Amino acid sequence: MCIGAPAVVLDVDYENMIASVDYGDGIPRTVIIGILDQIIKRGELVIVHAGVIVSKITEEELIEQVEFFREVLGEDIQLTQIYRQLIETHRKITQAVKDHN
Amino acid sequence: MSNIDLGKLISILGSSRDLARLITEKIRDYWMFLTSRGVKRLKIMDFCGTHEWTITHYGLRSLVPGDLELVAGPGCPVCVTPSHFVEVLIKLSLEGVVVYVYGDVYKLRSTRGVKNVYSLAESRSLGGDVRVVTDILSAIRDVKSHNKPSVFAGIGFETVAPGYAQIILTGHLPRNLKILPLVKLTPPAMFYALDVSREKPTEPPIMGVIAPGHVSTITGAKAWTPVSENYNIPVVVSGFEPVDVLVSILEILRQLSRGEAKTTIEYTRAVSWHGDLGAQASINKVFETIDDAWRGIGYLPKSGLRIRDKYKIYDAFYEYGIREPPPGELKDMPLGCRCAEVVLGKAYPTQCPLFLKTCTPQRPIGPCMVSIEGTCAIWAKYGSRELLFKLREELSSKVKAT
Repeated sequence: MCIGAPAVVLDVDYENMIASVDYGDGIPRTVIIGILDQIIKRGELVIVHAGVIVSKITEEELIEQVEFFREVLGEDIQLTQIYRQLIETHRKITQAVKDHN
Repeated sequence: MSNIDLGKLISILGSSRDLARLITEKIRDYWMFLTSRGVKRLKIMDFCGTHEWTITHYGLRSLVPGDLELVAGPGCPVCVTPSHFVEVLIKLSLEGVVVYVYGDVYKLRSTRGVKNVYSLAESRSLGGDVRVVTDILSAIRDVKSHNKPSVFAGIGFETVAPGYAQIILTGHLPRNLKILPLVKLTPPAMFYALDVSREKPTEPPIMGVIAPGHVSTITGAKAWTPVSENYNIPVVVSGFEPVDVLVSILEILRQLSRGEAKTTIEYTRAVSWHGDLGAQASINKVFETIDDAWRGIGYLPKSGLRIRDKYKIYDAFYEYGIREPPPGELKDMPLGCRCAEVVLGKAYPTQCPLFLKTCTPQRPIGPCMVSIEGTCAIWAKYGSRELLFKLREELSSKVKAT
């Protein structure tokens, strides 16, 4: 039971230990924050397992996966497009947060 | 290479295809070395259903030497949930309790049934209120739309436990929703699988373990040191991409060639040695460890989590007086089904007389065919070299007979 889907964090509610994430399909979904040792921030990329955030990942790691699929399959599949969408959302939010600060 | 950074390796080599080629060549080199030292056959066990999926879906068995067997372990929580609890949930749903389950539990068949109802899917068709959700928050959202008594079947491994703990600790569980905590702990099952594999000296020994990546994000890789220390075999905590799994196999062979037996992390992107200490603390606060029942296996010491007395108002065991299954009921597999051996790496799905004959992904009989993480379901869907060999054997014997 290790299926984990990457997602980008849209909003964090630490009081209730929940976060809103986008799996790349543009639909915000509420998940539980399962990791407590690291602080989760808006725009960060995470792995979600059965509605629970179990770890953080970096943009480079997601790009690595996209590259891997592209290489193995020789073309873009729906999954790589979703991952690309995730990376784009991640960059946009991170930039917006930076500008705001 | 004690802890392996795949990202760095890929960036150095520039291409994961080149990397995969390099890794398979290295695997063959180490294998040649081991065979020159008298090793004839050996098994590497992947614990997690998602690892088995990666191995089968991407055909990794065809990339490693034939005598290096990759076998699946008990890494599918739905497969090892006793039939007793399916019956409990069926009974509750028929009595008017709303039952929330993950999609694969919905189709899971019980052995004995309740009033001739054998699964939650059947119960729903007879008017039982069974609702499929992907996570507990969806159940909480839905439960607020009605005031009926409800139960969430909390099946899973260590990964789901912090989520349930957070929901209880933050007081977000509605009064009418109780959790049936059926969380299992993975290391004890691994110890058992290794013990069993050593009982049969005719079989090739399990000489390496590919340990579950996401479970280890919570528990930390340290949870696996008893395996490498007590059983003297290498353990590699692995990610889920094909290259991750290949690197893990390579690391196991490398350690075997040097006579080492250590626990190492390949999935450094997500896993640390100590895991998430905060999550571990919240799990310990809400749950206690018990000797838990595994379907087809029996009770394993300290292998499950139940809600502590302090939080019993959230516990479906307490609310509905649910009891643990009697030990005599645990060899609860359908007639002819070899799922109990499949989850321990003792048999391949193709060795089961029901596999793809009466037991199919559309109409599963055994628990391993139900879940998308069950070994039989993975083999049925994506096939594998063994499946092809088996079919070839059957066809040639039929040709001979005619």
